[in-house]
Amino acid sequence: MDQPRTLEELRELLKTSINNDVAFGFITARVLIRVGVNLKQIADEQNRNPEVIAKVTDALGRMDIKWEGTQ
Amino acid sequence: MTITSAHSGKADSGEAAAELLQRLDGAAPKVVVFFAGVAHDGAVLGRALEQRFPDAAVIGCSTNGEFATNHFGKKGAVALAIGAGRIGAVASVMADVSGDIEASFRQAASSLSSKLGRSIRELEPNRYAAIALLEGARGREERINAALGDVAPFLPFIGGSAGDEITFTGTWVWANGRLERDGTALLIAEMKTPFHVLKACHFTSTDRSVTVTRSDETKRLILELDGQPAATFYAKAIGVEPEKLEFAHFLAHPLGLMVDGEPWLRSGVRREGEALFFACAVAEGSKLHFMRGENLVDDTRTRLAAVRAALAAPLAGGLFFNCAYRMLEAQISGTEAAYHSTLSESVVHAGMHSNGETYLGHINQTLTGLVFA
Repeated sequence: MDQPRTLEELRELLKTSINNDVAFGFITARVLIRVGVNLKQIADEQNRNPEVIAKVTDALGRMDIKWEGTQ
Repeated sequence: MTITSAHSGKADSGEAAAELLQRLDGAAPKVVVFFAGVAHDGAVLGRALEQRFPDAAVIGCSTNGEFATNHFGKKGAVALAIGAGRIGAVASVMADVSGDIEASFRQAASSLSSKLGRSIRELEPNRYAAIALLEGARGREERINAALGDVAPFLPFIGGSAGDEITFTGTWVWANGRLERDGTALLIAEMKTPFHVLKACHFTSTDRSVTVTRSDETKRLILELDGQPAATFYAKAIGVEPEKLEFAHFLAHPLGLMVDGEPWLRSGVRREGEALFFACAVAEGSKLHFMRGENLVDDTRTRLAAVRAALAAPLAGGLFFNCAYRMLEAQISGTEAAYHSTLSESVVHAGMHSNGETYLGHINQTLTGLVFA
């Protein structure tokens, strides 16, 4: 599967993968603090920005967080 | 099963250790956390506690001030001893943060996992309490917290940055028989009784928000807000001439990220030219809300009552990390005694005034803690 094209798409994949609201909250808070992206309330100007999406996927990768489509 | 707190106002480390031990007489802890003024010899305190309680994991750090049940002050020492009956497996480690922080935390995670017999990545956050006492003078808490997140993303470490009377000249941390000036103490305890993570912040979001359009995270500088020079924008927003911006303005008007309706404070410290220096790094793209302060004492009382309700049980003990900014606010407003009375009336506790707080990341102007039923 290709990389998500929007943050909304990434969020849904992540949510499905983690499958636990508390744990999902931990990850979204960590992402927000680290890269300035609130996956629970995605800003319009960030949603389709490839650089922003890359920053988020990089942060998730460092935490070894997987979602459908990741190796 | 008991949780016991102790305090000493002694400035001499040997005398302070003796007084702490006297007040902890009869305790049978499996975990001891101590805090002391930065001028104390943390090794004297740590060794004394370890010798008296050889079955306990002992960690500690220096402070900007320390407090415990019916006590608050500076240059003294406090400790919280958590009874063995409450704790199953426990592990502690000192992580070196002087070099490759990421590698050091991978090593620390491996050590903790080995001692606990399980990968810390897999630990259930409602069963395992995790504490972090960070080196607090060199501005690396963002990297330390990120490294913690990398090795244990689903386990929130609660803690704070060691203090040094708010001079940012040097702190100390104790764990596993070692005193380090460039280390971070980590402790994970399997709790047999319920506990709750406290994150209390007495600021609420206003309708006004702003986006960080340029920042220098390595220097904790915000350069631009909504595309305008940060200092001018911020000063105008709070109704002050930019050249008249003082610490008191930042103390009263922090900015904050909002997550699920809860503020995660980012506190300004000073103006640096057209930039603003903050007590934590703020990533570009972050949407920050202007905050409105509420009553510190009332909010703390309400938060502790909410914890009691969440646990549906009397509170047996608390370990607290209180931002030094909250300490300053209480001192300036003349509510320091009332603030500590509120804590003491609510729960047996020990805590420190920190150079920053830890909960999923590095945060400001917050009280973080672990509260045990």
